[in-house]
Amino acid sequence: MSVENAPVVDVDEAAIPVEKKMYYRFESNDKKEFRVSELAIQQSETLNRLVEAMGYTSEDVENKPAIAIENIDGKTLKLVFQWCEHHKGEAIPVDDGSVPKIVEIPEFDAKLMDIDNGLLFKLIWAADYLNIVQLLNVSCKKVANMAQGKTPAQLRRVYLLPSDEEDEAAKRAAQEAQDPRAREVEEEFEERKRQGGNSFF
Amino acid sequence: MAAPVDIMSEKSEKCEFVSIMPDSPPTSLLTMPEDVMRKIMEEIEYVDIQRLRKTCFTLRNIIDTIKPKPGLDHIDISGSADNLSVSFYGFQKWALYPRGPKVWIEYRKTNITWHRSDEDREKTMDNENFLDVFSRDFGSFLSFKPIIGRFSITSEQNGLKTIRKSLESSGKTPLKVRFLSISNATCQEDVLDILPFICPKSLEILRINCFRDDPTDTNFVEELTRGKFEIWDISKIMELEHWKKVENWDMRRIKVQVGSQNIEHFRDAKFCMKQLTVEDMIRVKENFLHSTYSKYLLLFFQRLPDKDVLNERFGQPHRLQNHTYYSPFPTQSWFFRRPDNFVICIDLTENCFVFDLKHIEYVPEEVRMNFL
Repeated sequence: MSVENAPVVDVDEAAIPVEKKMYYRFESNDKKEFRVSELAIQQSETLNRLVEAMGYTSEDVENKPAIAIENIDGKTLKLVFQWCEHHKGEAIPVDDGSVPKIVEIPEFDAKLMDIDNGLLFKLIWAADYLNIVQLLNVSCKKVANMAQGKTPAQLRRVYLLPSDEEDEAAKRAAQEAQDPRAREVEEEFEERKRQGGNSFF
Repeated sequence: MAAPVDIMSEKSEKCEFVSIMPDSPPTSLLTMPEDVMRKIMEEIEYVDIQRLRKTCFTLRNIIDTIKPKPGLDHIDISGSADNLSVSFYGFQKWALYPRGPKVWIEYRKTNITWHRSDEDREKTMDNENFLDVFSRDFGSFLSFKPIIGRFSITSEQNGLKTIRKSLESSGKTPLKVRFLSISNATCQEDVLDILPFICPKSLEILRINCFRDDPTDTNFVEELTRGKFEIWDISKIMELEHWKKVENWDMRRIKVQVGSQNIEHFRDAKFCMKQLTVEDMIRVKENFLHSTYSKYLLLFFQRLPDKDVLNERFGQPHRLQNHTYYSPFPTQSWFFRRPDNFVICIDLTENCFVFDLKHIEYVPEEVRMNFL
């Protein structure tokens, strides 16, 4: 089954009464509604604490308005909840402080994250915001892997980064708006440019 | 991350979701939250991090603030007066970049070669000294990796002076190293070229070897009994702070003459003595008898003149099968139980004593019976 069609977002209604599980309703900032199982929500520490504190009954879930997640759009939230449903019931990893972490990206996650980089960054941000530890691990790993073997020019394209010149122009414009003595920023830029340009790599 | 504060307002029609997070998702890597940025950077390999530093100065600032620690904590340096070969790699991470994270660079007077899994890269030296370039790269690496897990230095044609100069110029000495190995050293002075630039407090294991490729114990003992190796004077090494601080000292391939009282403080020591006496061994045994921490001592020796009185002083030895793993020679063993249920195990094979302090449950069963 493809990721796009995975039954995580628009849940199969017939499956609900069998196990009498609660399915919460969430709404993205562009008014897309999602029904997500209680078990899947446990992958997100933030949402889990939220629904626990709300103490909704089965009737409340159906009758009360959907829970608004105001700074995540529907496209991103769909990916988040697909991931949570697929990994529901799995243990949440505990950070043991080791660096770098040994993170394997499962096939499902790899397919889920086969998206454009802008959406991937939003997914990471959402995973952090909703405190979904393993989704954050795999998505950060995916972004880190994108750097492998790339030249600085390629890295700018991959990570949507400005060049030194664009970066400096943006900084100077911001600085000049606040402080007309932007010259110091320019000097700092020149110095940092020198610092960055001397290694073999 | 802080939990959302507001849950559901009685007055509101909608659930509200109030948070301390920035309210708009990132549009590029640069706008990621700091903890996420750190997480990503710590997953990126060292070379790629160095390249990311070249993309723009905002990211360079972020990287220099975060200082993501590379997974590479093994460094091998070998060198002569004319070149240095340096590898940075990690435990079981031996594949060269870009297939893996290992970085292998050779610095020569005329050019630098970066060995890669796809195609080697060359850089001609223009008005720059290869040592300066190495020192700069090495210093840059150390600013991300302040403690080196394993540092192996191999001297090629008296290259330790060259290596010493480059370490000094990195501006990062004394280097914090956990495991230091110096190979192909020819005398005490070679070691003194390096050790003063290594922080004694962080050094846990030191291995000094006069070979480039370590011979087997069997070959070594054969050469030793023939008196092939010259004896080293290590009196100046013994004056260094490292001699007192390092717990695990391995000089088993270098013939020295050090009184047994001078090596009692090591937790794990391996030496090769020109001559041992039974009195030395009794002293070591007494030291193990009263030790408050675990200990291990391996002593190769060229001569043991009073070997005949060994059984008289230690008692009749056990002759156990497959008791020792390190020697193909017949072994005589002695066991002395301490009141705390630890046992001093002494093995004597051809030209090698091993003293080991073990809990009684780890000594051979047939010996354990004697203690019951």
